[in-house]
Amino acid sequence: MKKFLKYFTVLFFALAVLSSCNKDDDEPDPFPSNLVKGAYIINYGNYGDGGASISKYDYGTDALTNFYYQQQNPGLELLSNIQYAYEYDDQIFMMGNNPDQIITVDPLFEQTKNGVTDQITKPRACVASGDYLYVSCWGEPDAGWSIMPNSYIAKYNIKTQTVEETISLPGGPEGVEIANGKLYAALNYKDSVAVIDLDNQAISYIVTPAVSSYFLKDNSGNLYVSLVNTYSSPSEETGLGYINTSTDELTTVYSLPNVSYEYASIMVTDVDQSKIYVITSETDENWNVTGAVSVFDVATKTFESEKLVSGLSGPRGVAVNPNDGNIYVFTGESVTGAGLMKIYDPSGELIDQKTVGASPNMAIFLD
Amino acid sequence: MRRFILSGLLVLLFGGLDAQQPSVADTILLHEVTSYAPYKKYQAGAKMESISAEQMQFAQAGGLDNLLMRFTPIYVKSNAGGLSTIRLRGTSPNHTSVNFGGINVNSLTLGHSNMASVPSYLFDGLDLQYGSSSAVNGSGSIGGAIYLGLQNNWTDGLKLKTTITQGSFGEQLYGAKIFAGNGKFESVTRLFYFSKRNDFPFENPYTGDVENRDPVKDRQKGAAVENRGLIQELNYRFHPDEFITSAIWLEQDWHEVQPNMPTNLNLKTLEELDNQHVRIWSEYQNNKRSLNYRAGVGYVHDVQVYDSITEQRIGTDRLISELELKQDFNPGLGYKAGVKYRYIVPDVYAYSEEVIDSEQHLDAYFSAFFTAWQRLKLTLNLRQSFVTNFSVPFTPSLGAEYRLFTNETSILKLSSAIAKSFRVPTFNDRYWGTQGNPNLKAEDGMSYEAGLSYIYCDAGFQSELKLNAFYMDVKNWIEWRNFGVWQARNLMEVVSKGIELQSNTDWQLGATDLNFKLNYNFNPVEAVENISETGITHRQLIYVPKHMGNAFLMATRKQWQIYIDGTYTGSRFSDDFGHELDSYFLTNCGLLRSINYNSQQFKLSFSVQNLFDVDYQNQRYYAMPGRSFRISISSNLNIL
Repeated sequence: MKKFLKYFTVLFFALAVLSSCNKDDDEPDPFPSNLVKGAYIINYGNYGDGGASISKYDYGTDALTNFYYQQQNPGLELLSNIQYAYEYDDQIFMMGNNPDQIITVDPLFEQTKNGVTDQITKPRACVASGDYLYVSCWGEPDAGWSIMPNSYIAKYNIKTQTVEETISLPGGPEGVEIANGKLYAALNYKDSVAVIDLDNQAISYIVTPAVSSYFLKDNSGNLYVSLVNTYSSPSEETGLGYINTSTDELTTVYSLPNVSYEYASIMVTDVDQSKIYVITSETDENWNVTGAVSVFDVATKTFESEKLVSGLSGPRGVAVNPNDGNIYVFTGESVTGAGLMKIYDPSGELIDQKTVGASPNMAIFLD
Repeated sequence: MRRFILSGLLVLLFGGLDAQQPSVADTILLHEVTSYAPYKKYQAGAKMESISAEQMQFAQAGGLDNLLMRFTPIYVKSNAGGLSTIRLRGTSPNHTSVNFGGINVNSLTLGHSNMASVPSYLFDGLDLQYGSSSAVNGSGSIGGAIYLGLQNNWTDGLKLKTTITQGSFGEQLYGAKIFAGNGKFESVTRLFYFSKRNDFPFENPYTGDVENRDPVKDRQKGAAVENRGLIQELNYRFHPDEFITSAIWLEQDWHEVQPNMPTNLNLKTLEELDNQHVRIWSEYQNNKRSLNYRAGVGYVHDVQVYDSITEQRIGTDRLISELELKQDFNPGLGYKAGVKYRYIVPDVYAYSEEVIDSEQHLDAYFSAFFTAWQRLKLTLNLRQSFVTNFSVPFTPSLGAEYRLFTNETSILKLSSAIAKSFRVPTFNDRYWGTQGNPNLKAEDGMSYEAGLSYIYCDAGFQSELKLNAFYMDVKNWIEWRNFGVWQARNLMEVVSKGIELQSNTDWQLGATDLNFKLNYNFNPVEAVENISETGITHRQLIYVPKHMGNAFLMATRKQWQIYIDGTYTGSRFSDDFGHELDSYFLTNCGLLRSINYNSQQFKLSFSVQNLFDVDYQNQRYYAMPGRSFRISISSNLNIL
C-alpha cells in the first residue's frame, strides 16, 4: 500500500505537470509575432491640439499603417500628445500630455483600460524596474518655464496602475535610467543630473556643463548623457557626457556642437553598442537650419568627422532597428502635416522613406 | 437709411455726372460712417461692403468675429471667445489689415489682430474691402482690409447713448457714448466693459474613457473673457472744410486660453493672455483750396503678457506720421499723393537688441482717378515702401468701372481691378530669438478681380446684387516650420480664387419695411508650390471653407423690429491628413422695440443665438456654445 501510494503520488504529479504543460502549449499566444513585429513610430501631434498618432511599419513586408492606434481601437483617438513611449513586460506605456496621462496598451496597441491621470502632471519619460515605472514629470511649471520647481518622479505601480508616491525633483527631469540600484534623471532646466537612491530616495547631483536630456547605458552599466543648449538654459558646452555609475562622477565630456534639444529620441546606440548616433541641428551663415546625424565611436571615444547623414530638415528623432541595424531618422516640419521616416543603412545610404504622422519623435521595435 | 442711400445714388446718376456730383464708383462714399475710410474714391473695381448700423447693433456684444461670421461671407477661425483669426478670401490672418484712422492696428510682432478683441461696440461703422489693397493700405493688405469707422457728427449740444446687455454664460456689456459740442468743437467719449464667464455646457465626446465611450455632459472651463476700452475723440472745425480730428483708443483685453475638450474634462492649469493697447491718431484736414492737404500723426503702444509673466512681455511702440496732398481738377479727374513714415521700437523679450533696436518704414504713394464718357472710371494707385534693411516690391494697382446700362430704375455696372500686393514679414518672423529669419522675402501677391453689380430701385422696392470673381496668386507665402529649430520661411505659392454673390434688398410691404441680405462665397484655395518636404499642394488649405454663406432678414413695423439670420460654414480641413470639421448652419434671431419717451429714445431687445442649439466645432477639439440668450436696453438721450 505504501508503495502504491508512492507510485500514485508520483503519477499524480507527473500527470499534473504534463497536463499543465499541455494546457500552456495549447493556449494561443495573445500577441503573435506575425501581428506584432514592426517598428511603431510615435507621432507627437500638435501641442495642445491633439493630432497624435501611431504609425506601424512592418519592415518585413514594407507595409506602413498610419493611424494604427485608431485602427486597433475603433472609435478612439489619441487625445494626448505622446511625449514618449516605453515597452516593458508586454505592455507599452505612453506618456500623454494635454491631457496628462499614462496610457497603457498591449503589443497590438489595443487599449482596454483608461489612462492614469492621478498624480501625473506633464509626464516626460520613464524607465521600469520590477513592478514599478519611474516617470519623470514636470509638474506645474513656473511662470517663466525656466526652473521647473514642481517637477518630480512618479513611482507608478504597474500592477495596481496607481502612483504610489512622488519624489520631488525640481529642475525638469527628462530622460531617466536605472543603474547600480540608482535612478538617474537628466535635468532639462538645471545643469545637473540627479541621482536617486531607490532604497532611501536620497538625492544627489552630478554637475554638468549644460542641461541634459537623455541617457544611454553602455555594457558596463555606465551612462552617456546628452548635454544640450536650450532657450532657458543656454550653454555652448554641448555633447555627450560620460557618467561612471560606480562613483557617480561625470568623468568626460565629448564635445559636439548643436546637439538637438528635441525630445524623446535624439540619440541611440547601434545594435552592438559600438556606435552612438546623435542628432544635431545647426543654423548656417545664411540662416538655413539643417539637421544631421553624428556618429560617436564608443571604442575610440571620438565623434567621427563625417556626419552619417546631413541636410535633414526638421530632425526630431533617431532609432535603430535591432534586427538589421538600419537607422531610422524621423523628421517633421509641420505640426499639422505629415512627418517622414527616413531609413538609412549603417553606411548612411538612404534606403527608403515613408510618410508618417505629425511630428514623429521616436520609435519602438516590437517582435 | 439704406433706401436713402440707394435712392440718392440713382438721383445722382440720373442727374448726370456734373461738376458737383460723384461718379458711379463713388457711390460707396454715400455711406454715412466712413469718415475713416476715404480710400474708396481711388479704388474703382474694388469690392467693398459696409456693415449696416442695425447689424452692428445686433452684434455689439463681443468682438468683430461675431459680426463678420454672422453677416459677411468671411471665415473666422475661432474658439469660444479667446483667439479669432480672419481668413479673408482664403488668405492668412496676416493678410488683412485692420485700419483705424491712419493706423493699421495689426500686431507688428504677430502680424494680425485677434478679431475677438476688436470691440464692435466702440465703432459706428465697419467697412470691408475684399481683395488686395496694398497699393492703398500698405503692407499686409493681400486678402483685404477692414476699416473701423467713427462718425463725425459735429454735435451741437449734449447727447448720451448707453447700452446694458446681459446674456447667457455670464455675458455682460456696459457701454456709453457721450457726445458733447457746440457745432465747432466736439468731444465724443465711448467706453465699454464686456465680460463673459463662458461656462457653457456641452456634450464632450473626447473623454478618453475607453471603458465607457459615451459622451459626457461637460461645462467649459478656463474660457473667461474680460475686455474694456475707451475711445476719446476731440474734434475741432475751423471751417466746414478745415478741421482737426483726434482719437485716443485705450483698450485692455484679457482672456483665459480656452482648453480643448479633452483637456477641459480634467483641467489642471488655467492659462491667460493680457493685451493692452494705446492707439492715438490725430489728423488735420484743409480742403478750402483746390489743393487739399491732410496731415496726421499717431502713436501705438501694444503689449501682450502671457500668464502674468511680465518678464516675457511682447510689445512694440510706433510713431506714425502722414502727409497727403489731394487735388481734384474736375469731378472726373483727380489725384492724391503722400508719404507715410513709421518709427517702430520693439520691446520683445525674445529679440536681441544687437539685432533689432528699431525699424523705420517709409511709404510713398500716388493715387489718381479719371472718369470718361460719364460711364467709365479708371483709377491708378502706386506705392513704394522702404523698410530698414529690407527690400519691398513696388506695388501698383489699376481699377476700372463701367456703367453698362442705366434706365429709370436700374443700373448695371461692370468692374475690374488688377492689384499687386505685399506683406513685410512680421518682427517675430525676422527677429524671434535665434530662430528669426532675416533672409525672408516679402510675400508678394497679384490679384485679378471682375465684378458685375445690378441695382434696381423703385418706390417700394430696392435691390442691389453683386457678383464678383477673383483670382489671387501669392508667392513667398510665409509659414513657421520646425526645420530643426522653429523658423519662418517663404514656403509656398498659394492660389486663391472664387466667386462671391451678394445681395441686399429693401422692400416696403404696407407699413412694414423688409430688409433681406444674402451672401455666398465659393473659395478654393490651394498651395500650388510648397518647398516643405512633406508640404501638400493642390488641396484646399486647412481652416478655409470652400463654401460659406449667410442670409439676414429684418422686418421693421412702427416701433418694432424683428430679425433672423443664418450662417452656413462649409467643411474645413483641420490638418494635412484629411481630417475634416463638419459643416454647420447657425441661426440667430431677435426682437427689438423702440420707445420714445419725452423726446428721448429707448430700445429694448431680446435675441437668441444658435437658435437650434447646433453642436459644432470651428476649431478642432474646441467646444462652442449652444443656444444662448441676450437682453439689452439702450438709450439715446438728448440732454442739451
